[in-house]
Amino acid sequence: MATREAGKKMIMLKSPDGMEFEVEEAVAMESQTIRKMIEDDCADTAILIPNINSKILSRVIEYCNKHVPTTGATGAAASDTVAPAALAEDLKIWDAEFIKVNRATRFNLIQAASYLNIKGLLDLTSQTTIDTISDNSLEEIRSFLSTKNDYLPEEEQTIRRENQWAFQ
Amino acid sequence: MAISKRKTASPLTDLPDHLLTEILLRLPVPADLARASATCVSFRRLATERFLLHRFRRLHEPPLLGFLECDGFHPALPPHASAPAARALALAADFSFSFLPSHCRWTVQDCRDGRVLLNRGSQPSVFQELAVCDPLHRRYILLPPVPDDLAHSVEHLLPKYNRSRCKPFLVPLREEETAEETAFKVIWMAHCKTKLSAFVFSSSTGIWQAAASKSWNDLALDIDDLVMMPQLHPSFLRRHYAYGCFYWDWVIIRSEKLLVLDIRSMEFSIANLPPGDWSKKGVAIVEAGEGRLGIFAAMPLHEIKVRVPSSGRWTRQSH
Repeated sequence: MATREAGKKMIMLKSPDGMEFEVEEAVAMESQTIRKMIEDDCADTAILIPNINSKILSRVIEYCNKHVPTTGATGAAASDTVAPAALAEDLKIWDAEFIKVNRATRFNLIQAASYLNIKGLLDLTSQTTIDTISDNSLEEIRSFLSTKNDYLPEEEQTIRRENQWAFQ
Repeated sequence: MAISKRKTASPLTDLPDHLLTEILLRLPVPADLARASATCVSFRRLATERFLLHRFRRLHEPPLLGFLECDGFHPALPPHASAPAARALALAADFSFSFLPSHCRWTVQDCRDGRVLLNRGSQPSVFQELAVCDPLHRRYILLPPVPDDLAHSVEHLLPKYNRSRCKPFLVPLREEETAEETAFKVIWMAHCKTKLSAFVFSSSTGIWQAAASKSWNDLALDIDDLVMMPQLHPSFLRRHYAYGCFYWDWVIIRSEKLLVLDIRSMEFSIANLPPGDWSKKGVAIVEAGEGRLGIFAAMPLHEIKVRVPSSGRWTRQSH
């Protein structure tokens, strides 16, 4: 969670279940949706984020906090002191840990990332989902994604025959 | 299938379509898209949507499925990653073109983006009859003849009894031109005694138009090339395409020149190959990423030369 530092503009994000999150404006602006609200001056001191509960919103803020281009107290970019490659590697490891969540949370994060327009988070959550499609059998994919096989038996046979090449 | 019938929480299909589309677009290869579409009806509906397929193709390099030669289709073979898809294509498509009228006389001239360009030379005219077809869906279009006024502008400049100095080929479409699924463009290039001419047929207009013309004299060729080029039969020239330009190399006559046709501006020009011992067996010009041209040279060089257009210099990478 962001800590208040002198000179940093803070903004309040409110979830529909009544929780309030005070975050740095720069962190909130990782979301293109919020950035637009702020730039258009539509944002008061508090922004209500509909559809995203406090549990998911706190995770989203955690993500933005980690991914916001960091600046030190002097205003110098942190990447001046840390090699960019090491920074990227650190972020990758952090992302991998961050996305170790159950499926329901991941799908909620996908929706939140889409609604708030946070490209990095949408990439991360979607990528994790498609990884389950890439290397698994049909039954495994269905199980991973919790999709229901709603094909009629004869339909499924046709689909399988037509797409046989994709299962080799 | 007990596992799929089991009631589980939060299925992916609960996500709205536009998010499912975002996810499906991130699948790395077409085979994954096909597998996803086989899991359930709603995935299939999304995965076969034209809008999604269009975006998917734009985001993913098309896989190499095989080569189409005069003697038929040669699918990619194992262990190539595309081998299963190539075999499926060979079974599903009709590469004997039996769906074309009187198919036996048609010969393959070019293929690109799932389209095949064929001609038949039964008529004595300079410009033979052309057809563009989709061998997978067995659809075809017969192209109208080149209008007389355009044809006359080059016919008298072609050497007698050597009508085949006109070469048709398919043109890659720009992104904004690919909205229509069946869109295609064909260029017909005539190598005349004194000039080069190109006519373009676009499926969107349905007509042939004069597109480019340049006399050999205006191409800044040295005297040897200027004597040789108009005599050289275009069938000997290998055509390459990269980043909006067609290239024809002349290594066959030991010339280190490239003829260039920029399809955006429709201008002919001449470029130089980087100096080197280019084999007469030919070169291949490819897109090397980030707008750079790559040139593969045949034996004995075993190397790739990559050109950085901004600096105009070539760098050499041996492999």
